[in-house]
Amino acid sequence: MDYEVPEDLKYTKNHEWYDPQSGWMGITDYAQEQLGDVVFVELPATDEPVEAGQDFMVVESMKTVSDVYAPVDGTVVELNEELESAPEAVNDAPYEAGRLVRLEAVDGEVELLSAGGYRDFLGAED
Amino acid sequence: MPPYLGLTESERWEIFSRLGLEEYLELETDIPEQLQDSFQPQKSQLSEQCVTAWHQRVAAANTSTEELTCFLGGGVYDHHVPSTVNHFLGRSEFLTAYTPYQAEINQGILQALFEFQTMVSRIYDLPVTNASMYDGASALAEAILMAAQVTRREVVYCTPNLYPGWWQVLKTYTEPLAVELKQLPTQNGRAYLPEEWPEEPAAVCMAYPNCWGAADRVENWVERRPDEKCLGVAVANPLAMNLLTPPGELGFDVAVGEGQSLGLPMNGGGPGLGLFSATEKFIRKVPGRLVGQTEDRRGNRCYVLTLQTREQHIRRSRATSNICTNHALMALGAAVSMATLGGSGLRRRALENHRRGQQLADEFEKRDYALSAIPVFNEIAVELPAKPPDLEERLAESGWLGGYFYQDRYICSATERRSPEQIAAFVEEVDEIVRNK
Amino acid sequence: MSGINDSPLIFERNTENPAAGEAPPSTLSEELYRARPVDLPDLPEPRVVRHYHRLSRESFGTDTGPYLLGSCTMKYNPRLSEQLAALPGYTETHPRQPAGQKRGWLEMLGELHDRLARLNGLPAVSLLPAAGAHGEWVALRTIGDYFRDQGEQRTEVIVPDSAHGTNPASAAVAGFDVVEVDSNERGRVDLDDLRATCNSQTAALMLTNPNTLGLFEEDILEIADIVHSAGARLYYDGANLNPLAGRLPPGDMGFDVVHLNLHKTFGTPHGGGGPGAGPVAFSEELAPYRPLPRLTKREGEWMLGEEAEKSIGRIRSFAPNLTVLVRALVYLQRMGEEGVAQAARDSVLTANYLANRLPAEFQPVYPLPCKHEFVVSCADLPVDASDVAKRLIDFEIHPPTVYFPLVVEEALMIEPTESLSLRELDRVVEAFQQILEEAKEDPDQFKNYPETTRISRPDETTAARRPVLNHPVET
Repeated sequence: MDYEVPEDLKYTKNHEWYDPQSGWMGITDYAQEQLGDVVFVELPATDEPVEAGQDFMVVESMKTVSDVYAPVDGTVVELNEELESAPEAVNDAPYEAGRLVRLEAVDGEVELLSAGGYRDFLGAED
Repeated sequence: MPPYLGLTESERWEIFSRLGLEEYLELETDIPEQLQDSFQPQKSQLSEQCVTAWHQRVAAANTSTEELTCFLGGGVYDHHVPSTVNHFLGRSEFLTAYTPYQAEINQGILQALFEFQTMVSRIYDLPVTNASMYDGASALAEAILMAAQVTRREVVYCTPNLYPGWWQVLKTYTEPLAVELKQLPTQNGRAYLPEEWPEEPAAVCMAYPNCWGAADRVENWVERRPDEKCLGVAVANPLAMNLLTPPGELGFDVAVGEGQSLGLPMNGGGPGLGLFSATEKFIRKVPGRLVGQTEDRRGNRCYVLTLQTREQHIRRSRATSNICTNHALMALGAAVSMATLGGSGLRRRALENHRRGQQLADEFEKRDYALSAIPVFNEIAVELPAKPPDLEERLAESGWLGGYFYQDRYICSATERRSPEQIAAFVEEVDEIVRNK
Repeated sequence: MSGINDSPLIFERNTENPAAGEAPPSTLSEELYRARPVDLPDLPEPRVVRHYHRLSRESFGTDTGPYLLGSCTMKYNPRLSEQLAALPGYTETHPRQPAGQKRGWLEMLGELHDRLARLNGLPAVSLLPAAGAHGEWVALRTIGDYFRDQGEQRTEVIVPDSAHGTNPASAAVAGFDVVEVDSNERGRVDLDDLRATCNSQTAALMLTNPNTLGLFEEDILEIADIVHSAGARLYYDGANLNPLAGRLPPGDMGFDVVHLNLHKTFGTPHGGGGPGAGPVAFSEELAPYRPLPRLTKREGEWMLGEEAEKSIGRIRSFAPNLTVLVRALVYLQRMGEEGVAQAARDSVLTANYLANRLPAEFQPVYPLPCKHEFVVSCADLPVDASDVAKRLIDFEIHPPTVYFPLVVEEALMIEPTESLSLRELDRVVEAFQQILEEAKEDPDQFKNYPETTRISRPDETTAARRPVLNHPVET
């Protein structure tokens, strides 16, 4: 199965993507496919600090409720409010209109996969 | 052979034969030897005649409200149940159906529940109503748990004027979950909202009518709520709401109540019907099943169970409620009752109940008894100078089922089923017994 | 919106509007008076009756046809139960009547109590819980209070990965953390994983036996031993009691507390989602914690005790689901204990029959024999589990449970119960055979099924994304 994995982003093993340039994050094409139709996104509060690997928000699909984990240490500074009325954006455009939140990262070493590394990881998963 | 099996004896043998079995036990290789023949059956099969006679005798050992004229209330009331209700509760397509997860073959139940949700939403003036809960007290408990979860606060203020037994139910639910219940102050049988709040509560719960037949100071909710985040929960008799300002209009976030007063049999107190309604804000947080409207693949309007991701079977340990089976059939019954009585009929009935309560109060007052609180509906609380231990017995001898004592007040109720003559005669009798005339 | 396939709502049949503009009663304050009456339709009785009659015909009960829903035990609901539960001596009673006026209730409850205690092999039963999930929560609350009394800090409840969702939800609402234990390759609890998971933090293991795969936990005595050795308690989810009822009391298997589903095992009607009842049976040790009010026998007479120091407290507004309890008692009286045992055996027989006779593509996931239900996987078929379920509707057979248990891909959980005749069983087999042929020939056609119902394939996604939960008032 061919999943979209944009080159310029970073990835986690929990299938989140993160853009170090803008600070936005979301779930990957693989993740949205696994979830099925997303029906609701429970956005977190802003100005809340998060730790890398911490479950800090929830995405609900028809069949399941899925935790989303922070890719880096930081603070949630902006929410994609569009998702309140159009949660399907997470399925249709997980890297653009379906992005979740913007984080202000704390400086530090974080272990994230490159696009190639994530593709390999997916290959092993499937 | 036992009565309710689908297979005849010869069909059983046919199945053994087709499966290549000599006897049933060959199928039971999985039960360890020590556990085989564990149970020695004793109680024998009884005929229909026998079982019928047993229940007729036992049911007759109860004293029913067909034998005594009922003035007893406290959350369950002797209302007239429209004849259509039991008829449809007995339609076996409704009665023997499972939860309508397969929407295509259960549009009937789904639509009936959607209509029920709509009716209750209009009564409470709150848009999100679930498809029923067990009863009023557990619905209130669930509202409190939802508030605690949503606000992440631990203190809940609740009126002390709940029907006897309800406060204890709240404690059973909240005890293991670090939710602290505190009482609202109350005066003249009406709980009121304090000027200052010692902490930021998750919710404030008020009742109207309350256990004294009066209304807590619900009209002050909007101006005196602790803050915007705190949830206002109203415990509201749905029949009374046809005459009283509904919780939604008073700014409450959640309304809960007992649906029996909408026109369901008393059933000795169970099964009843728990109601739960809330504002749009809590649509993904409310417990219980929800029926939603949608379209099918051909564009036809239809109904489905929806927002199931809130429910236990998907959220599992993340669930804030574990409710699965609810009281759907009772909700259907309530809907049939409301449809039969109609909006005007419900309004009229609510007015009649209010008037009966007023008359009951007047009869006591003109005999120089003091009321503990100003009644708003069909129930009153009276201060009796004495509490004769044989009051119930003597009333029963005269054909009355009287009220009950709670915190030294005598609480009695008169619904639309009680005539003015009966009310006068009942109070006269109580007066005689109490004053030892 | 409207057309030949539309089903008008009762609000759309409205012609009248309720009386507005009358003067408020002088005995009610203005701020409490609802000036605008509730907007509910006023309809003549014949129209109301036709409306609900039509709705009843669009509902599928156990009276309508075979109901294959797994772990639901959709068995026949006796007519006599309906008749006797409607006796005015039962229905026209008030919960706050003095005990002397409720002798009938006490005798009925006592009789049911004793029968259920016997069937469970445990001494005390609470008849209060309104449903299975309610009973689960009660059971866990008693376990929690018991350990608190013992001064033991036990915060975890173990649940198998195949468990029904109410198990972890009830544990969470009862204040526990939930831990999962794995199933082994035979579909049963992995004993090694259980030994590793059970520790001094464990309050209880929640177990359904047979489990949701329809498999009997043969190592149940060993499981009980592991749990008890760790100082924890063993809880029985009675949803799957049907194949063991009257034959193997849960108490004999080592369970300390049991919840029953009267609307499953004991034939009370499901009512489109309830009311049912979820009584709980307790060991001697846990009995003091059971909820109030509680049945006790004093000098041969049943009474309801309102006070007990260790009790977890009250759980109902007023009373248990009394008229549901009456139905369960009628079932037990009519069947007798040998009859209940025969029903149990028949439920296993019909399940194994189906499991053997269904086409090979619908092989049970775990080797036979099964108990009262079995699970098949549609993962290798050209259509999915949901498609098979929808096509069964066209055969007037209520589909099995779909997508549960979660541990099996494209699962169908099938439980015929003892209520089906051989002809009905064979009809189910034929239906599956035909569906299989259709799936091989033209899998794409399945998205149009069911085709014989007025409604087909509701859009559940939009219903969840943009919920419409009531009909707005028409202005």
